[in-house]
Amino acid sequence: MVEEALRYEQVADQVREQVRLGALRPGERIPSVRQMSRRLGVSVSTVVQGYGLLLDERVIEARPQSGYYVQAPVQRPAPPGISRPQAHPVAVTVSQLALQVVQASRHGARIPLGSALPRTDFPAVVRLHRILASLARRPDPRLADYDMPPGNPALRHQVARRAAEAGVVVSADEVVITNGCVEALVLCLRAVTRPGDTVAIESPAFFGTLQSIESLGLKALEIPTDPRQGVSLPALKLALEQWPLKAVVLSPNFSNPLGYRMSDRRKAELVALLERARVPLIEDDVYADLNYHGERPRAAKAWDRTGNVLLCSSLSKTLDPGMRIGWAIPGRHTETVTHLKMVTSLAGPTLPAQAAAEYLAGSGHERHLRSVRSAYRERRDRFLDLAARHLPSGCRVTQPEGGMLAWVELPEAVDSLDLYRRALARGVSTAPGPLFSASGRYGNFVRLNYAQAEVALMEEGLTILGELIREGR
Amino acid sequence: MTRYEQLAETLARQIHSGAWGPGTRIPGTRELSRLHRASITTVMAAQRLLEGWGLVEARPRSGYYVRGAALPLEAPALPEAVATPGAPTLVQSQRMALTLIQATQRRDVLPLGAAVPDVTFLPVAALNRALGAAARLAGDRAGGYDFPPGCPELRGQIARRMALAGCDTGPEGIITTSGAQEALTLALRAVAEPGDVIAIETPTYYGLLQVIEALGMRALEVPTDPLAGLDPEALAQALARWPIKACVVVSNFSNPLGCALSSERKRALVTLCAKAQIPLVENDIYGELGFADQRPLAAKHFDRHGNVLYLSSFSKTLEPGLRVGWIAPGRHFDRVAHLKYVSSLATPTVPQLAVARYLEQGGYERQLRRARAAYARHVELMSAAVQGHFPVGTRISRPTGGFVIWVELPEGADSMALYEQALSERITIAPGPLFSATGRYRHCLRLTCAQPWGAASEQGIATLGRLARQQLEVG
Ligand SMILES: Cc1ncc(COP(=O)(O)O)c(C=O)c1O
Ligand SMILES: Cc1ncc(COP(=O)(O)O)c(C=O)c1O
Repeated sequence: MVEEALRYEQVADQVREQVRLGALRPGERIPSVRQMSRRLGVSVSTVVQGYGLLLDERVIEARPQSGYYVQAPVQRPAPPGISRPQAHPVAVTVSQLALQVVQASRHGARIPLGSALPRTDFPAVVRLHRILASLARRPDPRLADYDMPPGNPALRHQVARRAAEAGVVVSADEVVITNGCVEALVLCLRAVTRPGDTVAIESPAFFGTLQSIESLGLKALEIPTDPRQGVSLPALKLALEQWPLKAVVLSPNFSNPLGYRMSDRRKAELVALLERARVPLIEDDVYADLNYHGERPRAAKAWDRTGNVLLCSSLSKTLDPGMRIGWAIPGRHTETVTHLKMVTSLAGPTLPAQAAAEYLAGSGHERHLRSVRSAYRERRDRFLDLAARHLPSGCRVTQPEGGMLAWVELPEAVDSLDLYRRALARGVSTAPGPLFSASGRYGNFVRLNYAQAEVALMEEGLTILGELIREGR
Repeated sequence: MTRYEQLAETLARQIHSGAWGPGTRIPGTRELSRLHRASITTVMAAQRLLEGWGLVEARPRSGYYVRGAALPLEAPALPEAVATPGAPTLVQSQRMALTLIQATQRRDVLPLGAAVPDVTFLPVAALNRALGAAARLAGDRAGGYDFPPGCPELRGQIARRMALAGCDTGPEGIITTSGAQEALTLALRAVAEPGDVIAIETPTYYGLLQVIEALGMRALEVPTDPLAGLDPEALAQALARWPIKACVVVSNFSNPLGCALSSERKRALVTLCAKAQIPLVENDIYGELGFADQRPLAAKHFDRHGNVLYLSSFSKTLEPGLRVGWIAPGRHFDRVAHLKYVSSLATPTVPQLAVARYLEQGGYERQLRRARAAYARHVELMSAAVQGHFPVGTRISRPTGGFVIWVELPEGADSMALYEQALSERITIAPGPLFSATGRYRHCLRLTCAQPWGAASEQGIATLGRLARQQLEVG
């Protein structure tokens, strides 16, 4: 199985490499499936899979009754380079701007590109709410009572069952239900740190996590992170030697904002490294179900043998954030996290948890995920094309393989905070770069959401941003 | 409200107004059906409800009788007040509380341990209709994050409730939370740091002790009178002696003592805290459950400087499973909103919309009147039973609101052991040491009265009394 996976990647790699080197030029026909199968000594279906990947990535296109061709150059902006954050721990100082930004995206802006909100107009969301409404008619006194931690057993069972898809084999007893992924992250951080401690984090990182770190009185050490491969392991290793780290917080699958995906090999290495160093890994897996190609990527926790990885996730990005259904699988910290959950908010809401359990027990969730994935993939393609058309040259854009967010590097001279204010005045919300750093970096970056706004609005938004960026230089 | 609930309420009002004296028979099923133009099934449902509220008892082949006056001839002695303040202490070993609460969730026990009303006292049907309607708003209103300060519809309704407690906060001063527990956590995180000293009542709600423990703060127990509540004088002395960073108080019908601060004490407390420049965290979760007609003022009413962080929830009055609470943090508003955002992003949307809808519809006042009457009655019944069955020398609190009583057994009794023994007899209680940061109250326990009163309750109290007597005999 794994070998097969590697083979079709090899097929794709070979064509990509030939295109990169110019051995195959735009508009040229590439070898037919049969030719390629003979040349590489792999099965026809493997080649078909490999070509499928390339079609998804828009490296090649299919012409009916003719074959596969290298796609004409959509001059897409290049992705940004690896980050170079501050090399020592800093007290996080991101201001209260974050709350303003998210509120603007929800209420203030006509063209919301600044949030990390998913689309909530999928039929599955209506289905979930219907289940909730029908539960409200069920005469069961338990549905009115506290649902004490670790939380609804049926929901924990569903979470455990689905975790297997991420390669994580756990029982329902190892799951704690939380008020979204953010509460899970905060409880896990509180379980393994004390105020004043230092934690390592990818850079740029989700500002919510940075601010949670700040609010707990922790210091953040930002680790250089590649927009394709993820956090730099050599840099992390060095950090572990140099600083008394108490935890590492990462999103190995489609991080916010970079959208990178760590390879399985690097995940295994990461887990082993932290296990040796006896430093817990807090893994934010909230976007992992939104992969555009192949199988859902495995969580780093899949390689965890000692309970050193605390996995956090939720239904916020795949279904409905307003339901606030999240969970932690905290490994050997399960008891502490359960206790902290009770102390912090006593219990989760009873009815939404039961509704989520019954929804997940039904058969529709996988189908729903497939339609979200293809909808978002299509949006990503439109976004990249529109970005290429409307943003000035010199802008660099990530090409995420999952999730719903793009990270855009603007020309050096552009101040993204200034851009944020001017864009908002024209009805466009953005998430300015400095939010994503503990040390005020990324002044000329913005994060944009390509899933939420309709395509026409997205185009209008990018047009406006393009104008403002040109003015700002 | 359904027809049978309406009927039960009418009859309850008649009973409370003395239409039928204790021990007399209320009109029979057929007669009631004729008098009130209600079906037989409706009348029977109403009778069962009245029985559940403890107002009437069924006598076989005879009918329903108004229950005898439960007030004992002589009021039971009050628990002793803690007179001497201790030093600030780190709170520890509150972990057993989780085990305790999990046990009270078992369906096969008589749950006298947790302060959770039985569903028969809650407006579950009306709330469920509101929940169903809110959930059907699926699309954009019910989907998506409701970032702090939270659902505008709900904050509008809460502002109106707060006005009844004398607070003119307005919707813009309110942040919704996942229950009062999250509000407490946010309030303390907003105004104090690990290691700081927090002044609290004693005995006090164990959830507060747990927050203090989990945040690494220290608790200072301030002498509290079982009738008058926290003593501002004693707090003034403590302030002179210790570096107190905040004071937390349940101003109306504290848990577990059930006492309310008088308006003078509230004013004194607010003034004292303002002068000492320490924030006052006011937990008013039981404020709408007073036995008297008039809802007492909140301490925040006397606040002129935004120094009071007022918090509450609908867990005790509507439904605990909703997890809808709020905080009005005065001048700490921005800090609390930010902390709410970074600790859980948002409160679930549908339950907030449902509560807003329910409050808009206008049945809440009636529901509260009914619940208050029932709790007053059940506290009497429970107190009488405890007095009848517990060892001589037992003292009982005299709550003026809420639905819990605090029972002080003679010295030598051990409520932790009693907890275990009771559990094996399928009864849960809340043992005294849970309510102290310093392991006091080994001989005390808290009992919840918000359970339908019946033979099983009487039997349960008799069992607890027997176990306690056995302890004292052996000891
Ligand atoms: C990386 C990351 N983790 C967690 C969350 C929040 O998740 P939840 O709504 O489940 O708390 C977000 C949402 O913005 C996110 O981007
Ligand atoms: C005094 C007090 N505060 C707070 C709470 C917790 O309430 P909530 O369910 O709103 O979190 C309780 C519940 O037992 C309580 O008695």
